[in-house]
Amino acid sequence: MSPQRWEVLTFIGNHWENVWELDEQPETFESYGDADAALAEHLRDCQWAVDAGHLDDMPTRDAFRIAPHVSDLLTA
Amino acid sequence: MQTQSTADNVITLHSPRDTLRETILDTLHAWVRQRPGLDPRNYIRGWDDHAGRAAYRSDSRAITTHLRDARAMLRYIELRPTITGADLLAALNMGGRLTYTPGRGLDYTTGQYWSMEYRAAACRVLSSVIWDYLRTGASATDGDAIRRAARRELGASIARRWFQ
Repeated sequence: MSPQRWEVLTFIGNHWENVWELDEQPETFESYGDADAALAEHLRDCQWAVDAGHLDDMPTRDAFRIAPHVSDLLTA
Repeated sequence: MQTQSTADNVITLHSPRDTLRETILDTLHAWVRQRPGLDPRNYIRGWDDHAGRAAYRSDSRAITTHLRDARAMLRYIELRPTITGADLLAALNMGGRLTYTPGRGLDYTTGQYWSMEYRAAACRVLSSVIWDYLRTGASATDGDAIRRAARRELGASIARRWFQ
């Protein structure tokens, strides 16, 4: 059994979805801590982009949650 | 730059300025700092357009990540003066979409969506320069060794995205 991976889910209107991609695949992380660090980094990046006028809206932390990668749960 | 120490002072001997290197690095900084022009109205057609919202969030994530990666790799190169302007110019003229002409600057041939491409193109050039540096300057002998060195020097997330 491969180690449990984690993903960052984004709230999209009425459901949670992993919209982060890496090489056209859903982006996953080796640990909860890695996912949490990536999310914190993303929020900092967004804040910079909003301050610089590159993005219009700043997502809040509660628009995200970290969860076990779904396909890992299905195959566990 | 060479440094000679004497008993009471330090004499620093500067090598000639590599103006091509400075110009290209400045130009790349300005390139990645351009506004991406990501407009949610181009993605989201209405309050119930969940696919549009997902695409916008996905692209926002990618584009901010590309900027962070580019800045980290630019900083890495800035701290290594043995990477020359000629090295940067060679990487920019290897046949990719992003090219540089001295006196003219950067040119980019857009593929599908400029907003999602221009920073990624800079990241590809920068990672190519660093790949060569790690192979020659850090004596990483094969692809796996270079990837390990990139992970150690630049972090796992940059290595994952640009050194595969």
